[in-house]
Amino acid sequence: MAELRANNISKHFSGVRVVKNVTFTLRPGEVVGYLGPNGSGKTTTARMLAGLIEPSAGTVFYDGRDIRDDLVGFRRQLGYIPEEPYLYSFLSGREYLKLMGRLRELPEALLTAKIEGFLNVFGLSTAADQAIASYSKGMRQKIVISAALMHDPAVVLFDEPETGLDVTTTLMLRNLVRLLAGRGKAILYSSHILEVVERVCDKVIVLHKGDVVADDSIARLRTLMSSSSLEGVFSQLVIRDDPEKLAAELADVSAMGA
Amino acid sequence: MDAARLRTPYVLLTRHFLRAFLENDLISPEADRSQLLAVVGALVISLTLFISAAMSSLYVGAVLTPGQGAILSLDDKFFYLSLAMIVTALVAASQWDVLAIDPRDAAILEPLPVPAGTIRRAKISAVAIMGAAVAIALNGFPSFVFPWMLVFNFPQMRFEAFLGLMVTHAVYTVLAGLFGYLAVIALRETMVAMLGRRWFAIASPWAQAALIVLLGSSLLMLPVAADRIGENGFDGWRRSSPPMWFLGAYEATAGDVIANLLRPVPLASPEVMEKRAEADRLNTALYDTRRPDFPVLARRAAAAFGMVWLVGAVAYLWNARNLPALPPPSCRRRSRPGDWVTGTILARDPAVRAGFDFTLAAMWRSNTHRLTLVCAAAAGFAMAVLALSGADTQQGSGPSARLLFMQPLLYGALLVGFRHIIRVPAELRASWGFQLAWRERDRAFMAGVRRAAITALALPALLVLLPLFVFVLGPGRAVIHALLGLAGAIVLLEALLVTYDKVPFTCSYLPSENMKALGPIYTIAFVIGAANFARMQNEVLQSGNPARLLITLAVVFAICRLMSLKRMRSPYVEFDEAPVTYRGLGLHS
Repeated sequence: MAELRANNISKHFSGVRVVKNVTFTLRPGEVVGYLGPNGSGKTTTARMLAGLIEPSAGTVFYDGRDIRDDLVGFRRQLGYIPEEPYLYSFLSGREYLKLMGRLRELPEALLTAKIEGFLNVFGLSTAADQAIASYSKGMRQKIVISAALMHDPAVVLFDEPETGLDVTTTLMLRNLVRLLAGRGKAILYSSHILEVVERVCDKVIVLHKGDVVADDSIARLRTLMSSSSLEGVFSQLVIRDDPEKLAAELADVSAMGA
Repeated sequence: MDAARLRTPYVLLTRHFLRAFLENDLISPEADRSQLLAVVGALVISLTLFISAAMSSLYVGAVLTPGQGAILSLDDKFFYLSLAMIVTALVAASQWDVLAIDPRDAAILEPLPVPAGTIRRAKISAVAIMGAAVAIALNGFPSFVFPWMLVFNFPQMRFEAFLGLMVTHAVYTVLAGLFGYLAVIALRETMVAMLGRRWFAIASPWAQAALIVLLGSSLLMLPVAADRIGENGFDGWRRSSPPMWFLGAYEATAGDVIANLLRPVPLASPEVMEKRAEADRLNTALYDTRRPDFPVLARRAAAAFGMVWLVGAVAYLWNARNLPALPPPSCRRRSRPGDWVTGTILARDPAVRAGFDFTLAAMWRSNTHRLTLVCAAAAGFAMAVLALSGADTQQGSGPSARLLFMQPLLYGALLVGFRHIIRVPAELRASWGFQLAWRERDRAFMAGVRRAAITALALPALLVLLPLFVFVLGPGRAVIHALLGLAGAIVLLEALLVTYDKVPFTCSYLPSENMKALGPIYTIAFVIGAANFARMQNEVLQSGNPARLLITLAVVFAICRLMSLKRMRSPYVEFDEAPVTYRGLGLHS
């Protein structure tokens, strides 16, 4: 299986640079955690890796080739789970999965079997024929995960996939990530939840205001930063304000006029 | 009103509901409200001003006698009353889902510390304000321009009588507008009361679509219907037509203002004056024969208005006694009767099937797309009915170009509407899934799209007209006509898609920069093309030999397909393309 490499990629929107010179490699069988506070550029990086937006500078390589040279070929190997599960609300969950499977040209019998399998595993069988408009965010996320894994991709990009998921599904997802890595998939796992990243990822990249501020294995980062947990490492690298002080200020604003 | 009163929950909610009329998916998703109001306002003012000035020029340009004025003005009064009624009804039909408290609104507002009664009152106020505003905006300028131009050449008219005419015009056109608006509300609320919310949710899109087709067709046929009202009288369909009732009320109130005007002392030559006097005598006599109808029609107008108001109010209040809850989602599996046919005959290839199914879903389940198709159907029906009005439709009377003209007009309008809707994304933010799964099999996908358009639009149009053609032409000729129509529809669709190189319903919408200039040319070309096709079909049905027509269609199809295949294609589809000006200014990253 081939590796996915972000080579010095940057992105700016209307002159504002959101991602700056990011370089890393996703290797088969490896789970890379992608960490950063809100607005640090995680989603933009994931979208550039998926080929949904073009980097303003730098290149994304898959198997040594620029993904733009053969986007269709690259996307055959890609599964992408975005943070916001925007789906066609007038389709049912089953119809959406069928549409994606047919666009990916999966044989009809295999497609039907896979859809039934995903719907059963995610507990969506009874809601499968309801319009997606009536789905909760978690249900939409399950449909997105099903659509992303339907074609057995070699590279999977998870962009905060736990959003809206119930506890059981979140736990299942963590195991799934490890299982997929065990089967040789290259996985980028972007998340806010440090505990999850600590458990499922082999190494982490920490992003702050578009810059990579750390790129190493979790164990090495702990040693380097003299911290017992990833949370401690993250706090030292990214958190500039005192969370306790911020919380107190919030409570004061809330109590104004009371 | 002081600032505190403007911030009461009732006022705030009324404003919120009024905004919902402007900011819904149907009209202006994500649009700027001030800009939209300015555009709509300018459109209403300029259109009504233009229509009233153009229509009334006759009264200024020609020297009419009071008798002639009384008879001729019946046409225009009928036109204004019908226009007010149909347009306000169309506005109500386009706002169908937000005419009563929406379950989504109720779900959001109910947890707030606002009494349910306040929410209900605010909604009713917003609906009333909307109806009154549309009716007044639509009839404001014509109420001044039309009476003024009508009496322009009658210097003997007293100022008080002129003012009375103006007020009468304003009152009855606004009442006619409100009648149309209330009738739609009454229909909707009666349906909710009788069917219950669950069944209403199923029937609602169909009722809305049927209503828009009916009203749209009526609007397009209005110029023909408003011709020679005085001469044709008030019997038959005219007696049952609501605008006629309001015309009766209008004439019962102010008809005498023109008809009973003093006849001036003759100034022209005796022969000219003799002719004028004769015309005046004839028209006055004709008007006098119509006079007894006016009070009858006026009573009907009053009864109908009262009935619609009463039914609408009772049903509205009955339905509003509880705030609506979001319906439990149905677990019913969506299945189409033709599912097996689709999978085994129409679209076996996965990409073709994806195009077929997605097109059907997007065009019927997306409000914006459905509304556009409904408008196209209304235009098609109106043109078809106009073509039919001059055709011989006796049983077994045989083909005529005029009769056969109906068919290409109807499916043509639908396919033109289809060509427009494929450029509009069904849900742009959901297109990322398409981008990732897209395999550049655009030809296969487009084949599915074409088949969906033919199956869901052209075939039903042909089937709707088939019974009429069986009646007039006989079964054999009717079937040949339908098959030729199907071939024509396939060729037309191919021609319409020659310049299309995107993925339907998924790519960002780029408005055609030059459509204002090319639109009328395309329309004329379409009507000429449809007329020629009808003439060629007529020849085939007369001679029984379809070879020449089929060869022509095959050649046109082949040319279109070749042009389509030869068009330069970009290496991959750009789903999120920005308008040229944006790209030029570097505003699109």
